[in-house]
Amino acid sequence: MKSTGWVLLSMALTAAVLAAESPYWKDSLVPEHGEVDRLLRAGWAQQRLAVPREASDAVFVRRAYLDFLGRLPTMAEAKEYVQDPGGGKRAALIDRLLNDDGFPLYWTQHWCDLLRIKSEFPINLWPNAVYGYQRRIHDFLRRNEPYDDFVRALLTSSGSNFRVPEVNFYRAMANRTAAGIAGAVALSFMGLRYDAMPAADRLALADFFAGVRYKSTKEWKEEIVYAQRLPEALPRRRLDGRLVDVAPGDDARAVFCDELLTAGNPYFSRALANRVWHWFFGHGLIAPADDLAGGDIINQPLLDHLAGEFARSGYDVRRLCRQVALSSAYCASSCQSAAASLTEKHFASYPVRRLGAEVLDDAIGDLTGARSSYSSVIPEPFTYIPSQNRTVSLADGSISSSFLILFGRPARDSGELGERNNAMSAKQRLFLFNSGELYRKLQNIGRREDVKSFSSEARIEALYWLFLSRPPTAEEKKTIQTFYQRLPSGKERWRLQQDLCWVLVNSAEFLHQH
Amino acid sequence: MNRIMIFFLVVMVAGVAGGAAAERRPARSVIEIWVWGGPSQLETFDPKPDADKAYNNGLKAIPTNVPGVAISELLPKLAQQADKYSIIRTMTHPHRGHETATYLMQTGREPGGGKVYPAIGAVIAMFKAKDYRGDIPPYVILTVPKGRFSEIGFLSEEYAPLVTGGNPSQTRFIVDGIVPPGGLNAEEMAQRFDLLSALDTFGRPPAPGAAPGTKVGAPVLEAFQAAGIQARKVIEGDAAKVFDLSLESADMRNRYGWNPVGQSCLTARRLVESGVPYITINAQGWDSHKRHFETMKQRTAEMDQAVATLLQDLAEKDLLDTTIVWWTGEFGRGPKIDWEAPWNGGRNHYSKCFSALVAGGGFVGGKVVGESDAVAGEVVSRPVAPPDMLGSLYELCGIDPDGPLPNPIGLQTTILPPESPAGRLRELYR
Repeated sequence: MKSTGWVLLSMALTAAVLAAESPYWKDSLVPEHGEVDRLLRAGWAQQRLAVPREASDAVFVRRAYLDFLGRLPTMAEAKEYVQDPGGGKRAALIDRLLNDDGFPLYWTQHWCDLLRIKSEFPINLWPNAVYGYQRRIHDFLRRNEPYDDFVRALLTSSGSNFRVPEVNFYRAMANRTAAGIAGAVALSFMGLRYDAMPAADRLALADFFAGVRYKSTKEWKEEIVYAQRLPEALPRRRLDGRLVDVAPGDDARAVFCDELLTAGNPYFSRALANRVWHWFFGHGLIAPADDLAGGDIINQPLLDHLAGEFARSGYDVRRLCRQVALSSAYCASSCQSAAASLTEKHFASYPVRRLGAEVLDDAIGDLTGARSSYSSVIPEPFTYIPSQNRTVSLADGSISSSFLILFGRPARDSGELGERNNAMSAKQRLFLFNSGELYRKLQNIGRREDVKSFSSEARIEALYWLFLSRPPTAEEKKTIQTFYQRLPSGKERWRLQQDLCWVLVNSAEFLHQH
Repeated sequence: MNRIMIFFLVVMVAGVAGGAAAERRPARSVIEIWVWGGPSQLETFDPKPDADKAYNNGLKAIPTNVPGVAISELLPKLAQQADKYSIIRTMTHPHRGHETATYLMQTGREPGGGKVYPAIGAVIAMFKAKDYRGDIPPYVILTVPKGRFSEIGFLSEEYAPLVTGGNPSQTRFIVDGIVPPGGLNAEEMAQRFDLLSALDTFGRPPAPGAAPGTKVGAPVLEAFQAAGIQARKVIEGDAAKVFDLSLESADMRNRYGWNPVGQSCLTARRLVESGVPYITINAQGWDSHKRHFETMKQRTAEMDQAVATLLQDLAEKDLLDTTIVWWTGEFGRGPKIDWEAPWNGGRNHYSKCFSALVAGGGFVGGKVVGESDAVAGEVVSRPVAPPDMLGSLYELCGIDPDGPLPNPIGLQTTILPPESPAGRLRELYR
């Protein structure tokens, strides 16, 4: 009788805790501000999905740091945001992250994946071209160069791969025929799969790149890319059927850019808007996000709206990111009451997904102070990347590690978004449970200044902030206390901390973006 | 079943096996000994004792236990096992870079073209997975991956190799991920798992307001939990025992040699015993541009002992008939020795003519395929291209290399390029 009463009481307490202070969500529903939110709500209404609850501050700050900077917030950063009582702090946080040096650094990785940057096989950029090209992309993001200017610079470039980094666009493809180039252009800047395009469109597109030529020089591994001018004018067809003239002596690539980068072009701004949405949510408003013609349409009006705004803003990428991150979908909790497969698909709950390989490697490195270094003996020149550099800033897709391979870093062979594999496999969980490398790294946590000086209870709290960007709940503290008391005496404190670090690094909450 | 149907079945089975004898059982496992960097044909299976010293550095050939077959004097133990394997002396392809050559040798496909094909190990793992019940993944690599070269290509992650890491030539072979690190015992690991299941509650309790019985967990979290259960089975089941080389006698470990390649071969035999379909041993240190002969002396001694013991051991345990062992690298070495500095007696990459070895699993032993010229630099007769070699391995595994290669990206393709069947090593099929 007595024990039944105790169980009932503890169940009631648990329910109260769940209702009162969930670490994951607020009781309020997501707000509605402006056209993006209106279009999101219209989409939810159409699917008969409830307006989602808001994510808690702790979840939001972790989410935003991961998406903008590719890293976890530090304990101080997370606490500052969570404990800030002010209003409008979400927008302030996003503006701060957009202006952080880490933003262009991490987002360069997205473009390096897209543009297939690797020194060897099946793309053969060779190391110095890899670094020049990556710096050019980093500059574009750091300066917030208008996206149309950046793309025009790539597509109309001519010259040496070492001196004109933009020409590496034409080199970073396994198939360098006119059709191969057209396929890369279609995927990268139009969100289209070349193989699925009608034959006439394929030919029309390839024609614009028929003059691209490559020649080597006496300098080792130098390659000149140039466009052969056409001796006579050719009528060429735009994708939507309009005829465009290329006059004798014109660079057909420039004529193509004029067509691609006009406000009326249905592909260019949509392709990027949909990709940016994908980078924030794990899938696009049309999914897969780089297959606008063949993908599953999830919210076309919203995509059209974002693309239109993006074009009107003069292709301002940061403004687009800001708009997406301030949407009601981005502050929605990932825990909702309807079937997650449906709510996630329509962004009526934030889609849960595993941390990317590079981000996870950096997170473990930041927490344990044991960052990865990388080296490559072939191809020459020998490359050594010291551990101060973040893994997300690795320029060369050919430089890798078994960790990055295991956790599905894209091979950068095709540039398709689907190359990144964030599925969780048994092999990955084996590594996280048992790897000697990870075991040694986790032992370092006890040496952190912000952990070692604390008493046992404060230490537990610190570990939760470090791994999960939140304090432990009352329930969790109780579970840990019970575990602690059952440990054999002697080396308890050591065991507890090691075991807890192991539990946290293996928890769904740590390993996933939520 | 009537006669006509039986007739058709027989024809189908024969067709799958490439017209070979219908009664042959397909090989159950494959051990690939990848001699990484490119092993010299002259110092292994295609010695040229009568050539000038500028080519052979004075090294001799020795007779084997098969009359008329001689191999390098650096492989005395393998010379006593020649009845168990056949030699191919005329492997040939046009790629002299490690990456492109490895890709061709592992996939049978020309590099380039945007699609990256899977290596033979991933393909065989995929086809054999349905008959394989073990907890260890169907494709295991000892001990390091080839790197830069994606073994699964466009196949799904489940056929990606388990890469062991660790060093089998230490007393305790710590397979990363399978053997708990830091000396944690089973009870301590079980306590950890208890704490994990008590604390790892994210996404598990239904959110408030959920209708009873609603499945609200995010799909990826369900996959996460399933992967965890599978991983724990590997840790707590018999899988870890397979990698526990201390269960072998000291005598057995000595027979294989106390070095990574020797103990990897021993581990491979244990994996074969537990039914793993494909095992790759990436043997390192064969890219001998400089001081080639010093390197070869050590490498060949270890390799000789390891492979000779492996073949003998498999035969003694009655496993050789169902296990293919194949040995080669991405290419061979240049026949002419480079004595200039900085090479000081080195051999460069060379792909026009190099050697391979096949044994077991339906291959006959004691034969030599192909003939090279006086310095092992040109193919004289019977060239064997990479798809010919791979096609033979597939056929003996009961997989039709000209049949479709199922894949998650919706590509309509066959396992090997369509033009390849003619050169397969059918003269070596039992």
